[in-house]
Amino acid sequence: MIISPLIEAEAELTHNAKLNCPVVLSTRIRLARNILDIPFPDWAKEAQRREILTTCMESLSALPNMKGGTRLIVEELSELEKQILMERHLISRELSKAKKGSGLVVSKDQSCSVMINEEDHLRIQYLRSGFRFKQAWKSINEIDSALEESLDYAFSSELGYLTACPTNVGTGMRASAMMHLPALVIANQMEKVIRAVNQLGMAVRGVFGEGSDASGSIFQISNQQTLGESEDEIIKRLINVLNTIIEQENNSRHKLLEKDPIKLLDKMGRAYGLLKNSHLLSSAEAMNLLSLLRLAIDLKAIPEVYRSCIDRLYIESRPGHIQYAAKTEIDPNQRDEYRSCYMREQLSDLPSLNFDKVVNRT
Amino acid sequence: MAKPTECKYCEKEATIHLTQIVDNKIHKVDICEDCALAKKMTDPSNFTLANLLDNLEDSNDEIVADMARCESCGLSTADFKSLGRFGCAVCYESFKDLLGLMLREMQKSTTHQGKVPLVSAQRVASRNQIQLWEDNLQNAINAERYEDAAQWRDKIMQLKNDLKSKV
Repeated sequence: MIISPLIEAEAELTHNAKLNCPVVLSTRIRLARNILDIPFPDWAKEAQRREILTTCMESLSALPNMKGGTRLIVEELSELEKQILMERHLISRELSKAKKGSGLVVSKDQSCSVMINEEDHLRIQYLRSGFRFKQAWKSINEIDSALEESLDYAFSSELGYLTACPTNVGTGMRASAMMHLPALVIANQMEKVIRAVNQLGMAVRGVFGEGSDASGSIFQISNQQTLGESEDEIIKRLINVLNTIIEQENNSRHKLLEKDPIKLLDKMGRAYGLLKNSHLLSSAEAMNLLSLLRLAIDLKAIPEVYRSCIDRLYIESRPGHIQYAAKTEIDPNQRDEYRSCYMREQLSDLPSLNFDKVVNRT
Repeated sequence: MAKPTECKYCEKEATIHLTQIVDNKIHKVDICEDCALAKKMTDPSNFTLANLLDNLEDSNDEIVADMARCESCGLSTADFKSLGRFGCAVCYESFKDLLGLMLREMQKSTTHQGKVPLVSAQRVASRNQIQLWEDNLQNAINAERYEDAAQWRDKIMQLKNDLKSKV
């Protein structure tokens, strides 16, 4: 498999979970860029797409950030490889189905990935674990400026960076945070939160983008508008909204613990029991159980050191990753069996939940 | 030989000619294949000329607008409406009116406030400048104004060197 080194390497997403980052799992910024005088990928001829692919690969390979990185041509990848890359948020569904002449460049630590000939010629993405927008913007801004040294961007002084879809024109920037909001989900508050967030000009999606479900209580929150505000202003506004959501989630956790602590403890305890003892586990169930263990870590019922393991299992329990780990072709039922086995193995040394710090029980 | 009939909605040759009598009036439509396709006139199962004519009269302006194309990449308004995407950067000029409405609806404002790719923009501007000066140089040579020509040549050389040293 071409992408094996990527899966087995220690990556920002799977191996670098920030300690004490209860609600925000990761921070992501992407920039949409296009090259002057060549039609956008969807409308371009194959020869033009190939020309873009070659030029952009060359410019990207020359960047210091991309040293030791991986270069992939989408049409050379198997369906399973594309699925795994999607599960790791390195490519989008759109790129996995793109016409010929599309590619991907990933930095060594997988914090930076650049899709070539997706909706736009370039989709530069930068990922940081935890809640770190300043760092993410600084890094992606540097990469973008370095690329501009050798690539002529399609840009208008009035409209900014010109993109295939006018919803991205201007900064071409989408900043987003992956948020874990179990208490708001348990308390049935998410609908209200989503409505309020939408009114503030921010979008809420499931963990795998547009149209995906919110299994594991994970939501992706991002800016909707790209024109009329600077990158700093957009990020500042987004951070304010995210901080409000964090506050709401924490309030909701306190309320649940005050009102009916046993119910919440029972949920976490059952999740612990199932993950350590079940023999059939679907992907959605695994996500929901892991979500409750993550909450247990936030509430100090599980030692903090297990956070990165849980965050990694979120990714590794997805169907593509399980199929890959099994090493042979398996059907969905066998996959559920293999997944439960993998969870039992990975969580074998997880200590019993200790609720002493959660509630004072008599 | 008679001049081929032009399509009612674009400048191409009309290859489809429809005639029908509705309310004692004769209606004739000459239309090219592309426009026929665009208006879904090729599927006989759900097509009646009377309906079509009514629709055509009603939405005449809309069809004309839908046939407008970007002169750089050939994308039509209809293409944009079905794809939801532009074909190239020039489309932003070509579909300015339509775009203005959309931007006002979905964006904070219609003027960019963020980052500017200074290096790339400067390079593109310089290249356009060189193109202009090269035209001037050619004109000067053609008119045998050799002193002017030498000046343009030196300016071009200078700017080309500047561009090279930055790469």
